[in-house]
Amino acid sequence: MPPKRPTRVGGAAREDGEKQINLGDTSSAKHTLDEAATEEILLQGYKEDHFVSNVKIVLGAISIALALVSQFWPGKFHENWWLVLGCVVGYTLVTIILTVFCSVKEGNAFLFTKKKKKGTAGLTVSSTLPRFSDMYTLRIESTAKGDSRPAKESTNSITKYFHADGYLSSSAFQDDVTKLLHSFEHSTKD
Amino acid sequence: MDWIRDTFNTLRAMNPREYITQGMSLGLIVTSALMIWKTLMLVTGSESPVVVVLSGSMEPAFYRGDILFLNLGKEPIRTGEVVVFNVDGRDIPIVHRVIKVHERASQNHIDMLTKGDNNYGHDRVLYMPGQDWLNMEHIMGRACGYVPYVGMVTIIMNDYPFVKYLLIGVLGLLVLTSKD
Repeated sequence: MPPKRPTRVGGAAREDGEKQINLGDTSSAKHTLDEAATEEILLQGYKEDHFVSNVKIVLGAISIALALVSQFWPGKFHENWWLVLGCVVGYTLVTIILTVFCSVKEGNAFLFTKKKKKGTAGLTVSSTLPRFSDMYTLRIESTAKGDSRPAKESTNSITKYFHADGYLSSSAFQDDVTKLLHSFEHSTKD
Repeated sequence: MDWIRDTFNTLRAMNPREYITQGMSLGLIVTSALMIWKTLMLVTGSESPVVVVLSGSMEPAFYRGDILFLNLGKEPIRTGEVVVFNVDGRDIPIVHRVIKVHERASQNHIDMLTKGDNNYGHDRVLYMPGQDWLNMEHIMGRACGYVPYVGMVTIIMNDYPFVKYLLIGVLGLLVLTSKD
């Protein structure tokens, strides 16, 4: 029996929860497809791994705390010159670390999952939709570097998944996502 | 009006983790602006390195709505320089020109008298009752550059505070609902 799909409310939605986008807005199309892929993969039994997101939140909180200290620490300006300098330098360092972490760890990925069964690692799911193209590429690979399963990609035109009036056909897209996921799970290094 | 409904729906559909992440991006944008301001403060040595001219007392040199860049520096202040100073009892700083300087070299103490170019008399009436001279602790910085007209935005936001809140509200909403 297929898993029950929850109704979602977001953007302008029909009663069965289908999302509608403005077809000219490609970033909204990519975002909608990413969300639908996430929903499908989580329904297939994977749990989301929040490590990257947590690190970003912690680093962001540290930067903001440094900024607040530099602004609100009691003391007239010229006496606390060194404190302000320390806060500015600290803030710059932490934001640089945050940016580097995001580009190295995340890249185009929008979902990290924990492992499903013992012995296999979690998934990294990323996608690309180039600026003036309609070809959406979904890529599933393993989070662990030494995993024997190679990455699997599938490239399709977004016209395959959206109706002419902008509604996403989630069954069509999620079927493709499930096919890609299974082909990844059952692949071995050859 | 569709735009408002979509924004509301987007906000409602986010889970707590997304709220926090988007709130974090907003906070980082605001604090990066703050940090640039702090860096300017460190470099110029002045507690307010950019001020807006609020009155016409320095015409024709500076008009109401001009932005002034300030620098403090270690050199002693001399007559002819345009300075921005704070008087106790007034919370708005004043931009005027220094017309008299008395310096006691041995004690490193300096007394100054200022006057607005467009004013009839000097500034002693503006100082605290009993105060005849300005000292270094009152000076925020010397004017060392200016940009005309741009400061009118700040003046408008001060005279009509709802513009300020409207602007911040709209910007915040745009960041929170951006799809990135």
